[in-house]
Amino acid sequence: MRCRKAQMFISRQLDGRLDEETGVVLATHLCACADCARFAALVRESWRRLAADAPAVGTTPDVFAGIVERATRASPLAAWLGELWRLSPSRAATAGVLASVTAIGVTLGTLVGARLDAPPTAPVLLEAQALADSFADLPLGTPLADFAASFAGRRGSP
Amino acid sequence: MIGEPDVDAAALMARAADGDRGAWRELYLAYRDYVFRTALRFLGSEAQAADITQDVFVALFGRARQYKPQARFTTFLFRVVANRCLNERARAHTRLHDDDASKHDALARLSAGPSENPEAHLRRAESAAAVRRAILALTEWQRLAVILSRFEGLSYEEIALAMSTSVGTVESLLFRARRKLGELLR
Repeated sequence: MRCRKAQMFISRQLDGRLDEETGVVLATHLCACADCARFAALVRESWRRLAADAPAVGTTPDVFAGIVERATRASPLAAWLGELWRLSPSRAATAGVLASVTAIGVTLGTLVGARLDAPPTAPVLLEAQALADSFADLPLGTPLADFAASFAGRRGSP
Repeated sequence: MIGEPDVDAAALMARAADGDRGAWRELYLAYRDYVFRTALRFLGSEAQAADITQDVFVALFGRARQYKPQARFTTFLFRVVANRCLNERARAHTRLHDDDASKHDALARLSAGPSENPEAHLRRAESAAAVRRAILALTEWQRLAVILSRFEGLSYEEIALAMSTSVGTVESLLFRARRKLGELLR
């Protein structure tokens, strides 16, 4: 048995938490190890001295009036938070999931709606320009050239 | 817990949750000494211990609805006490070194026995003072574990619940505390 382990067992033994078998192993170690035997004597004596200091009676001042006064003027927010805290974990989890789903739905709806309502942007303008350019060589005045020119103009071609 | 009061704490807490002042009073009278003594041993100041006692019972009555009778009442109580003591210690860390003598006097009154002959009383007082100094020299966590174990007789499991930690940590805290106490009280 290592000394560190033995010293931990000495502490455990003082609390009555060492099984009999380990107690025998510890006793054997203490017979062979002077350092651990000294440690055991020291901690047993200091632990015994702590008990000698234990007070027999309390000398508590009576602060009950102050307790009642403070307990009865607790803020409404604290009371509300206390009630919230009393929610069972499953109910609190369900409420959290519902709130999250609602928040995600509202956010997505807002984003998609904004995208649909947005005016055509650069890609559409580029397409119109490309269409106009492809008909640039057509003779002016032909219906197809007029259509291409009007299409490019309607889309805001420069 | 050593000398646990013979009251039906669960029933009292149920009444306390409904604001029954009679139940508040009964709980206070039954457990105030444990709370005050633990705080006094931990903080070493009577005034601070009285404040902590008040804080603990205000919190206790405020959270009475949270108490589940499956758990031992003292475990619930000492959890509140431990939290308050550790918070107070952290908050007042800068003013810890004030008036050490008065702290020792306050603690000495706790352990003063009935009339003894002067020589025996002196010996006892010297030994008790050395022990108190050693306890105050421990880290906060070690000290709390020692107080709950040695003075209040809580099991490792109860201490672990009170300090919101594991049984292994409690064992380690007590081991280190004992090693330090052994060195200090050599």
